[in-house]
Amino acid sequence: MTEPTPDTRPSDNLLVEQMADGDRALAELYERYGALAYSLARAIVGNDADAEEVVLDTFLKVWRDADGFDPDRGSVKAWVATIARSRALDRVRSRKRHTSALRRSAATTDTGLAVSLSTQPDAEKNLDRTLAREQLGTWLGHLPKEQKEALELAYFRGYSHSEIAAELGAPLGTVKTRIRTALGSLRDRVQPQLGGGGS
Amino acid sequence: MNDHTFLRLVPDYVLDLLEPGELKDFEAHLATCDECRSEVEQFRETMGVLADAVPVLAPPPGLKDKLLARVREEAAAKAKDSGTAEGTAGANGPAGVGPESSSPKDVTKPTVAGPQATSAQAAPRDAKASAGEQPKPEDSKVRPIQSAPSHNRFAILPWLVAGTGIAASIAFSIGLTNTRSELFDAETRFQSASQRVAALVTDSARADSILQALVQPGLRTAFLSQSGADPELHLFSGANDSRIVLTAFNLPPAGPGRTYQLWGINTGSDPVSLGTFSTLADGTALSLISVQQGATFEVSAVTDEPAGGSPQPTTQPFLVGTWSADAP
Repeated sequence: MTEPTPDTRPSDNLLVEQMADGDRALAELYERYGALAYSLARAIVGNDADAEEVVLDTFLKVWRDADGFDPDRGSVKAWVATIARSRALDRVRSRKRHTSALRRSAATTDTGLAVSLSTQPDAEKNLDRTLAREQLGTWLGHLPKEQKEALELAYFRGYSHSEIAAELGAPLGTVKTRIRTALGSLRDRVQPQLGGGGS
Repeated sequence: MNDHTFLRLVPDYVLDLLEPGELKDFEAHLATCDECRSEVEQFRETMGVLADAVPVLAPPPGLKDKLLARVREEAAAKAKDSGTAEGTAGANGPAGVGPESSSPKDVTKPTVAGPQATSAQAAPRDAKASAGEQPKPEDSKVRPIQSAPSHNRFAILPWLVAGTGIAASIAFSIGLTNTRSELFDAETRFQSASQRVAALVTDSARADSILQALVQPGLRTAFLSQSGADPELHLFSGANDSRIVLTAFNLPPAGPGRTYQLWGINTGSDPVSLGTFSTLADGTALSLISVQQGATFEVSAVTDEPAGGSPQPTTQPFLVGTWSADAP
């Protein structure tokens, strides 16, 4: 199941397999993806305290569910990112249910979440990222503005199609097309870099 | 829908954008279509890469230790629970600690559309797990309180005030030795406030930390408010505790470059900073503040200070309240 890697460090998949053997594997996995989860959570929830809780929730779930992880269905990194995003969005939605303030303006800027997708060249580079952030930034930069906006609202806000349509003042069908096209474009660029065959 | 339509819906699926009916059809199709499964995997990876687009922030230094401490707590609780609770045969997760740690893994790895489809179909949109989340053992395992599905976790505090039985269970899970009657006394003391606190707590792990500070004998409280108007601030601290639970309501976020600072004041002494805090856009806050163990104050106050806080107040307090030990 786990293939040897040139890296002397245990692979992500091996760490997940070893999760039941104590907390060393979890600690190592956190070292690799803690910043990813925290950064993503922070971008979605908009404050440090909630982001910390999201990270704790995320890695607790990884620890609890390690038995069910199937490497054939995706990478550990994608798994962690997906859980973190989901937990962060749950947190935002939970807040919305309990308060009358439906907008978390603190999480955004005047230009909206575009900031979240504008990769910063001076960001930390000590993470074992599969893709260079600069390259990702270039790819995102190639997306038409309206596609990027729609994708941002879906990815970072967890908005539904109709909510995005209302937010952007665009027809529902147009919004769907923009999102599918945007994510499809990224997939077409990302997949070859990850060694996949593409579509 | 034909296969081409399903293929087109893959981005919607991984972004959790499918409506319940669409989701059901899609996942039924996914179980039978290798091409769509492959597409889903590729789009999931793309989603993972997309996470790299956010500005990288280093997690707080203590967060890793907190995580590992929680894991150990949960593993210990699980091990303890497995000795008495019913139905734990299927709960042998990756605890790594306790009698089950050496037992064979008991969870069959799910197929692509197995438990994922079940959970996504069953949950409402705002509570469902992401379609990109891979395994769902939590849906198939019997779990103790701390492992309840995340979308139910915020409900723990209301449960506490609703019944002593649940309160006793929570006390067990957080390792307290309080007697049942002491718990009942404690829950009575902060019942009204806890209903508001509950609205601020969104997961069990955080709730546990809050509860540890709240559920104890000799709880001291201070309610800070402007006369006859919003906002208000509630403080809770155990008699010999090193923590203060702070809740705020109707307190707009401090202005740019500013922060709120909490002070402890005793007669004849300078105010002591108890730390800074911020509120959300909706005017609420829930913070766990660390203070010197056993430190007590007659009065607490809140001032508006420059970001980072001040050694001594630089503005007039706009919230002031007196500490009192609630009668049991």
